[in-house]
Amino acid sequence: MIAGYFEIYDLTMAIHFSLNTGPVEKVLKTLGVDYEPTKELIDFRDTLLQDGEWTTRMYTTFMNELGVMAPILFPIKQKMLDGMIVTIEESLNISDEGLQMIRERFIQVFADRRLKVSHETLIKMLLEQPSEVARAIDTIEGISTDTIWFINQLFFFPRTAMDFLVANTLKILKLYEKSGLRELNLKTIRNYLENQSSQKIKDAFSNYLDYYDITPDESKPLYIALQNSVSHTNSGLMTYPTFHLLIMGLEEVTQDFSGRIPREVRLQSLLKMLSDETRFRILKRLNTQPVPQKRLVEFTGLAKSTISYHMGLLFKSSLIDIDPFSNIVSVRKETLRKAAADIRNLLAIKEKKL
Amino acid sequence: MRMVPGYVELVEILMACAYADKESYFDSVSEDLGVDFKPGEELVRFLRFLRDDSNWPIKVAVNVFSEIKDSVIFFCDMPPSSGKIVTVEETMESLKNDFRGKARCVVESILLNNLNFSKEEVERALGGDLNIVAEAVDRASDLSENTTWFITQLVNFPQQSQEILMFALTVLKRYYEDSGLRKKNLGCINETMESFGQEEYKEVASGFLELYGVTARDESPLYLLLQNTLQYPGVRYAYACDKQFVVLNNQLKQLEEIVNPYITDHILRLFLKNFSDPTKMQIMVAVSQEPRYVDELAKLLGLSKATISYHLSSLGELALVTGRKDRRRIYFSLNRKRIESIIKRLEAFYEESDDSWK
Repeated sequence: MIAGYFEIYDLTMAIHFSLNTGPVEKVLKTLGVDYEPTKELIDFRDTLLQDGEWTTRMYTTFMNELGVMAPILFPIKQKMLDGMIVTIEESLNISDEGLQMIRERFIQVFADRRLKVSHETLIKMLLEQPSEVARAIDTIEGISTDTIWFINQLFFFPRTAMDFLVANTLKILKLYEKSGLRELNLKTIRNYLENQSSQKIKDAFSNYLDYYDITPDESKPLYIALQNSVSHTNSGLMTYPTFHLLIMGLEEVTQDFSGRIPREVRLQSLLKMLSDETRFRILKRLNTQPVPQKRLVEFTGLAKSTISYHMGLLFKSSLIDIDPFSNIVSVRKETLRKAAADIRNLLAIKEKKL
Repeated sequence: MRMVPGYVELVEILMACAYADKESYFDSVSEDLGVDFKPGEELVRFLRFLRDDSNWPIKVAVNVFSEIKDSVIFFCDMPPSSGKIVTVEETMESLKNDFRGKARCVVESILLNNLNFSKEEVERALGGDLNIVAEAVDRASDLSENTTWFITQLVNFPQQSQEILMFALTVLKRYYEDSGLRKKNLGCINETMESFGQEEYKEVASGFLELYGVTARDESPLYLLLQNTLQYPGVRYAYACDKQFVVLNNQLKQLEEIVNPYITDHILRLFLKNFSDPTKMQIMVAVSQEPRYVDELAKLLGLSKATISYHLSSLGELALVTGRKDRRRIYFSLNRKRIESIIKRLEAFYEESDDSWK
């Protein structure tokens, strides 16, 4: 378990907030988290949204929809250490070697998560049946044509893709800097890492796992990356072929998960989430079959932002899993099973054996 | 047991007074029960008439009617046969003729239903041992001063009580009529009476009694009194003077859903919502360990008795807890059977073999 700060993830979070301000704030409010976005974050969002350039639109759309790819696109060159700070500049890799590695890793995840085929099969497909691969990319639900374009570039014109990525990252970095958000985040994180032991982060992580009832596969290394842009939010535990990653808000470490959350409190918040009519209908629908978020918009007839608000709450209550790569949402039946068992325990109602 | 569905208009006035007296309480319980209750324009007008009336007998009557509405119903004659209506005028006429007889039933009901006396104690009290009543009334800390005063008057000065009561009823009846509430309620009630058959009433009423663990007496008819003013009547079952009744919501369909042993999504969600409330969860856990009474729960949880009573009302309406009288106290316990079937429904969610969720 290694805890550090990878600045690019903080930027990713700020972009995510900029494009989803309403749902993000509403989720935290419903959960009773006292959250107020910083002036710097609002400034960043406003300049970002005002930037009418098409490249900015493509870049932010892609980063927002496939934020989960960030660790692949911005690989860390150094050996990972506790308390390490890696700036955005340091994670831009445009050497031929780096380019190959990024493409390789992307192929691996895409084969594994999307096509459910081996790495080798996909490489063969890319050479022999490129149109098949392009078609498979098209079928990824819940992503826009901008993102589809970028994935295609990465497969077939990796140099263009990386040039585009680097140029735009640097451009957005300027906005990030100008808004003062970069300085604020770096200062806050540095101050935290210098004055606190990384054990605190690990404890918070363990409370997080307990709260969400997650047991990660221990054979893979686990990275905890702090972020300060939206300090009460995390990415959800993401699993890659060779590691796990959780992007955690700094205030989750210092407040939300600083202690173990009592079972009853957790149960109360879970049942409250479950008792809402819309969320209940969504869960019922998902229970018959996992579907992408887009389908839920069609099914409920609600606005996309309303659905993403409910998804946020269900996710934060551990009632659903969202496959970050395919956007497919499924019910975490385990959470429901435990909730029912907890109710039985609390009220001493034994299960009647048939 | 014979069941007689019918309508006593005074019940509606009592409901309107109860709402005027404890508006936020009724709103909170309605919210817990998942009923979106907003007083209609007629009820709002009625409330305004009451607010603008500074006569103290009216203030006292509203407070008393609200607190012991189940007992006040014993001032009325019951519907003579199925589907009949007893108007306010009929109730007042009958009170003129036999106030003492009716007052005696009301006192008996207060002792049985509000002060939780045993049958033997009631007999002793009504046999002339009025000290028992005075003492019990004094100790009944959840009754307001107005109500204890009214009870004492009823026992000691029947003549004066009659005058005050008749005055209050005359005024309240006028407000009830002028606000349009009377006309509205009669319209709704006639509609229900026409569309619901005798058998359907029986079915809903039997489900109601079973769900709430009410044991009605076989020897007397059970009156099913409908009310349309509130979504949640706050009165369940009362017995006195060989008469017994339950107060049912005019929205019988809604009631049918609750009393049906089949747990709907709505009922499951209501359970989840109420159980997720920290105080309600604590109360349910406490009564799951052993039957407990209000004072005991208040001490245990460090909350006021009024707060505990409100939470117990909601839990009781949802049939999650049931009450049993014992030595002038009501002991609440967990309704395990009901909760078991609700949990089963939740469990069906993740048990693949069960497709009841589809």
